Amino acid sequence: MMKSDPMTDTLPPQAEVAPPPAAKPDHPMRETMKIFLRNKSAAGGLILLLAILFATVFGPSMYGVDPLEMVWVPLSPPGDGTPLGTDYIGRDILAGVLVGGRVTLIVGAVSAIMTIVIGILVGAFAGFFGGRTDVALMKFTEFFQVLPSLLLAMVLVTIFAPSLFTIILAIGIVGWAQVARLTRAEFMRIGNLEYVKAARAAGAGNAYLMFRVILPGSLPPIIVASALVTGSSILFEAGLSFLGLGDPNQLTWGLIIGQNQNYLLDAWWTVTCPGVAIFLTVLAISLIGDGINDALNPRARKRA
Amino acid sequence: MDIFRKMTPTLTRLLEAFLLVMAVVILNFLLIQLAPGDPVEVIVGEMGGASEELIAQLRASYGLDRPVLEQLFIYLGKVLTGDLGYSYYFNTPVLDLLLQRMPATILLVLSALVVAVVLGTFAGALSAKKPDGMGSHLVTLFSLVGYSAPVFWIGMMLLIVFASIWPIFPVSGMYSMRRPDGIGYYLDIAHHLVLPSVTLATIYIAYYSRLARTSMIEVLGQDYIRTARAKGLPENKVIWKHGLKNGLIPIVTMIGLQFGQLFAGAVLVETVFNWPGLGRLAYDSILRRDYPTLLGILLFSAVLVMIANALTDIAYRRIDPRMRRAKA
Amino acid sequence: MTAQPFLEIRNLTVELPTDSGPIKVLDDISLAIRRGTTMGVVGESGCGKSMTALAIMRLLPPGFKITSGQILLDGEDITDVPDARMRELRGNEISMIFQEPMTSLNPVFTVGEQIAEAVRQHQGLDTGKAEQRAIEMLKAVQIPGAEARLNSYPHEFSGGMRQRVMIAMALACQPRLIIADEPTTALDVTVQAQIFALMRELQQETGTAIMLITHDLGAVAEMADDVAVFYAGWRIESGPAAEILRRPSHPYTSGLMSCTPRLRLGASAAEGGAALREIAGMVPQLGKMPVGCRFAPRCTRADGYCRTNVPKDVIVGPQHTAMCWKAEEEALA
Repeated sequence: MMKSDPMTDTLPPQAEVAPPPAAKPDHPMRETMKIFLRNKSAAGGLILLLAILFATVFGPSMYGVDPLEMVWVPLSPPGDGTPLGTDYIGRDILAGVLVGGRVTLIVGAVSAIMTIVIGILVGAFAGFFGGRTDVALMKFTEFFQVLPSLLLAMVLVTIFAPSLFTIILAIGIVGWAQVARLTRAEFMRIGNLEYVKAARAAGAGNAYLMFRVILPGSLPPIIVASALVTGSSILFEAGLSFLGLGDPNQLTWGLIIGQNQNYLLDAWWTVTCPGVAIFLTVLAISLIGDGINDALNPRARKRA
Repeated sequence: MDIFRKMTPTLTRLLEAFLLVMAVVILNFLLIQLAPGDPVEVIVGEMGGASEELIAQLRASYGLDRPVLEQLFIYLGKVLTGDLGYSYYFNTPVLDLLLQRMPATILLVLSALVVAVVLGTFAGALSAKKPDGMGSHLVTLFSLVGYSAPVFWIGMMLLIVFASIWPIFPVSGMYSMRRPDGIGYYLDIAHHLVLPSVTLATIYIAYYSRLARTSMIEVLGQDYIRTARAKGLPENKVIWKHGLKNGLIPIVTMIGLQFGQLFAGAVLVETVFNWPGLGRLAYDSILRRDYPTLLGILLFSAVLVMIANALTDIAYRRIDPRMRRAKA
Repeated sequence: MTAQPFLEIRNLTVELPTDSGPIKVLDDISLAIRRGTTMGVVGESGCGKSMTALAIMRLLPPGFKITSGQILLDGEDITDVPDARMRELRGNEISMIFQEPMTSLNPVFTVGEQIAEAVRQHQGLDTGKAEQRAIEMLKAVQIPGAEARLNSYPHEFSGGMRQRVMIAMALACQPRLIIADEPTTALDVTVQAQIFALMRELQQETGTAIMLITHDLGAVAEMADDVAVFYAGWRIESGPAAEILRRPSHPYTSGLMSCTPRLRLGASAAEGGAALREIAGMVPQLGKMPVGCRFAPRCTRADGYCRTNVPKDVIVGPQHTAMCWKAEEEALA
């Protein structure tokens, strides 16, 4: 889709991700928080995201305009009766943007969680067991990575009828490859560390080793990737809604843009405002992701 | 896996690509099975109803009464002979439709890719020279903005600017109403290509500049860069010869992996700019619920992506001599 | 023997600015290398040996600055010549062999190209002639099948062969000074001996001066005409190799020598291994230097005066100087 795998970018093949401070809980975490908050752009991203969340949760009732009702003259510009203007059938854009954020954010978050869970599972099995399991799973991953994910999601959603559920499923199915690769690399690296060998020698079972011993150590880069996956899931959802493949009963930012597409030359505000909302949301999440990356990886921060 | 080891890397790569394509074909088949309705229902619908016998007869003629596995082989056979089904909406075999739309998409995707890789790499490498400099921060900022904005929205913003404020580029389609002859024909297409291509390139410039920056910062800290300086080479040669050839390795890898996403981005851009390629076709077939066409596009673009992937793999081996003999 | 030295470092100080003020990485270093001779520069890791080499090449890592002193190359102070002039000198008049042959060659270019490009750069030879020169150089460093190996990539060579390629590269423009920064540390012992033999041979043919950086006094005994001993950013002793190895003045030098089995004359191999002493303690961290003599905390002979007063570089024998209060006392006595 539009940008798809932003995580590879902060986490290129030989990832810039820190060798995580393995097995030293608590204290480094607080240190990480401190570094994160001292980072101006990361803190800015966090504030921006909180503001967006606040606006979408409390905004609609505070503003009190029904986003689906025709409330004013169609295609009237911002300030002329409504703060952000109206769309082609006279619906209030501001009300739409406030409400639309709810679905956009929920779909983004839930599908990101799904993407990450699938990615971690596949990557963990591949990296932990290695050998044939690894080869097979990685071929499987490569298959999904090279497929044009938006097209696949479009087909899936079209065939199964657009609903929030199918959209989340489609985004989850097409986006996990990058997380899987990252998790696999981390599992391979950490699997060879002394404390894992010690746990294995002490008789820990595979499941325990994978999810209680290795996974916590591999979390830092996965957390960074998760932030980026969330951003790209939101963009993905926006793309699908824009193409008219969203849930027709749910107002989203992408849908508002798609519906007003034909009027954009007469009424720039109809597409500009929801777009800015998407942009700011993803930007906030990217900034937070960068901030986490820097905080977890002081070496890269100094270098870069 | 023993067979793989005995073959040359290129052959292995081609076989892998073929297997991946077959996997897409099978996936496609499964999706057809899952899709509501089958060709017979569509035909019957167009005829305005038919008797039970006629429907059964039609089903038999399409092989729809056979077991699923047999249907799969029938489908594989069809795909291998280039039969991707029939588009009832466009009233054309799907393959013809795809071949007719393909050049426009390839033109768009390749031009965007070239612009993105060249500009992105250049900007990223320049900013890697001074990681704390003004230019470096600009590149970081641009890449952050570039990949936080939805590509279709970037396209719309450019469309608004170039349609109403500064109308120097056409904002829709691929040709002018009155098509010029000769060289003018190609210039006309190039003129139309500017906005869609720039839109699609924007996110990838953001992407590659950041990747190039990280990669070049890493490379420029390597011992062999110090060796090159110790030889007395001018700084330009150190960076653009010794640095860039190494810094390109992750970028080339990424191009291959990204091709599918680039293709998907084309769907959105073509929709915004009414560019008559496969992406616009996909959009139109969604609106018409034209499954054969939609699935054909998925298959077709997967094949194109596989080809592109194999090509970048070969390029990768050319750049990195360590990969030439080793690895399969 | 007393001719003007080819390279002379006078009172060189290199600093790294940090949040808590600048740290002197090299503090008032002086040394001189005569034409066609080998100067061994010894000391433990982190004493400033490599930093001195990089200062001469003007390839200090970002942040590090030469804050005072001169580096005279054939009389020309290269601490403040323009970058363009420095590039003319690098690889041409002075070249450098690095410690890590595995990472110091560019993996994506053939060794032939990597040797030839320096020749093209400095001597303006065309591609064919430069390639010819590269073959000659590969032959000179005794790489079998030089013509065929020209188009090989670094990963196709063993560590020892790569270091030969590095030497070929360093010698390609017939420089008058080669700085070899621990050229054999990463290699097997047998290969070490071969590389040293090769360097000596090539030195006799070309008359180049060599600055051999090493922590191995055995290598110094084998190769060097003169020695400079570094400790914690100071050059604490210098003089003719024979003199220093026979009669070290600084306790640190004696300490280093007792760590080196080959030098302990009279001790058989077996007991030599057993009787090896280590110098207790560690090199002080940069920025946490002792007030007086920097070696005092580890020195068996240090007293209160040593701990509070910075020693001066004093003459303790013919062309032999040391920075040690005790050595000064002995010299005066």
